[in-house]
Amino acid sequence: MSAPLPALRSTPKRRLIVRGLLVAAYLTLALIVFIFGRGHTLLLDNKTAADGSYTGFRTLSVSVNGGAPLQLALRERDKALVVGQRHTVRFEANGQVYEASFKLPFGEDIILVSLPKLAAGVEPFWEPFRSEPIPRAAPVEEELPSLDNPPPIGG
Amino acid sequence: MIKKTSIRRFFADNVVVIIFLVLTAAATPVSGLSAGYIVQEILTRIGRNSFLVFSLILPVMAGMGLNFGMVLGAMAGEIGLIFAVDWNIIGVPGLIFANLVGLPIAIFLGWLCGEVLNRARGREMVTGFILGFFMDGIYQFVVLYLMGSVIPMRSAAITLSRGYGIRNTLNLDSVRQSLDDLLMVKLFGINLPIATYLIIILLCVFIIWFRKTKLGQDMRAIGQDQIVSNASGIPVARTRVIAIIISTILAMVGQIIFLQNMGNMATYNAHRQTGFFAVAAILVGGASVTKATIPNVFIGVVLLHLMYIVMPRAGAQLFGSAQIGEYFRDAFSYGAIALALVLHAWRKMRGVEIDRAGLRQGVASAAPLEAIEPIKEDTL
Repeated sequence: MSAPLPALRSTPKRRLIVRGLLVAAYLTLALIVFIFGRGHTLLLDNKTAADGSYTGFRTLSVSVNGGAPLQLALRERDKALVVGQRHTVRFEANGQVYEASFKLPFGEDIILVSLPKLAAGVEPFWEPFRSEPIPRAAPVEEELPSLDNPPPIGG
Repeated sequence: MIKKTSIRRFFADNVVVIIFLVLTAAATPVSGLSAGYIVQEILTRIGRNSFLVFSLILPVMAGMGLNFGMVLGAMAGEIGLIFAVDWNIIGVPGLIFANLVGLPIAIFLGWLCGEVLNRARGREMVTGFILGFFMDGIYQFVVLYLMGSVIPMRSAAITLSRGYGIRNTLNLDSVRQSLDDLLMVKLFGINLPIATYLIIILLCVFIIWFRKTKLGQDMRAIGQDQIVSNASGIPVARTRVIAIIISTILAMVGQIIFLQNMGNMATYNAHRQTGFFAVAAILVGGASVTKATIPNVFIGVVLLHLMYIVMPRAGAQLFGSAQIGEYFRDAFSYGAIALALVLHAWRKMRGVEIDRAGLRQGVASAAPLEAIEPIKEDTL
């Protein structure tokens, strides 16, 4: 019986290296998934500016990243769910085609994309959308989570 | 005579499976459901539930019985999903993220569970069961009070309006059926979630391979006799802890697969029945406290879910109330667990008696006559 080769023998050093590599792979995968899997909501807007600096279109057809086109009338807004940070918006209005690519900030959940702004060449044509919480008139008694009545087994 | 005995033995060994087969065979035509609908439902539920049931195999192999402590893994999976939804990580990456977040939690909880079970040898099942209740309290404290106050949460949509704690029901739209839809094939009008099936097949291959490894062989040896295994140099306590850790990790992955298929999560209740369901399924499939195989999992999931599908409708058809069918299915699920445990205890006692009788006969036949006679004289 011959002894195992030194390179294949399980030593504390080798074990440490393998464990270190596993932790590194775990963290790398987590980071990749975290960055490239994060979703954002794009609000596609077709409204005229309050100061009249750009005007909305009567109708337009817009698609995000080559997806299914959405129809928007004047003063309408629709949403598209996107994953990752870099995206392309393409829309057609009054017989003309407009297209632009942009990179979203990582931390923002909802982005308002103004299509008339894009057509008018106003930069930036998008901005983070943060809705102000509406203060409640009176504290609403919210039902606390029920710990009774578990769902039937097996789903 | 031998044939009669073997039939009786077959019936005794498979009584739970036979009872379920008879029940579902009787209820299926009464329910009036179409074959296509039943097949679709069964195939969906195989994808949804099998992984969870598979998590029970390794602890059985290591002689630790049915791991009711698998709810700890389910809780870890739910915590992973809460973070995936909070960070709005969508689709399959969201599921991977949930797994990555849940993994260290599952390893820690599995280690804890294994250490506790090592201190409660011979009472692993009831200890795991109570440990699940204990951890449920800790889970509620973490999710209801720490999340949003100590643990930062980004999304106001998932936190309670008071600013901390997670809502009762979590909408999993961002990851809903993302694994199932990854590779959905329609065959004869039936949707087959191939990606989910591939993962289950991979797990089956892993279990078959694992049984042949040194660790797998150690677990089987420990499952047969801990004292002999210890004497032959197998680290019994460590191997048992590893079995529980792997089981907890598989339960975590299984719960994530289960919840992504459901599309929403009862934050405080989703894990509570997971252990019961999985144990009922594997026992209905013909497994016992000491022996569980891959076919047991599939047979159990199919039979149990066939009953879940047809019983409420059969109840509605027969008694005018689906609720009665629901009572039946719950009663029979828990009844299956009780029956299997009683049968196991009975078989164990019978085995001991047979061994004892064999030993007496062996002693009687092996001992020389003159050696027996003096003892008889002495006692007389």
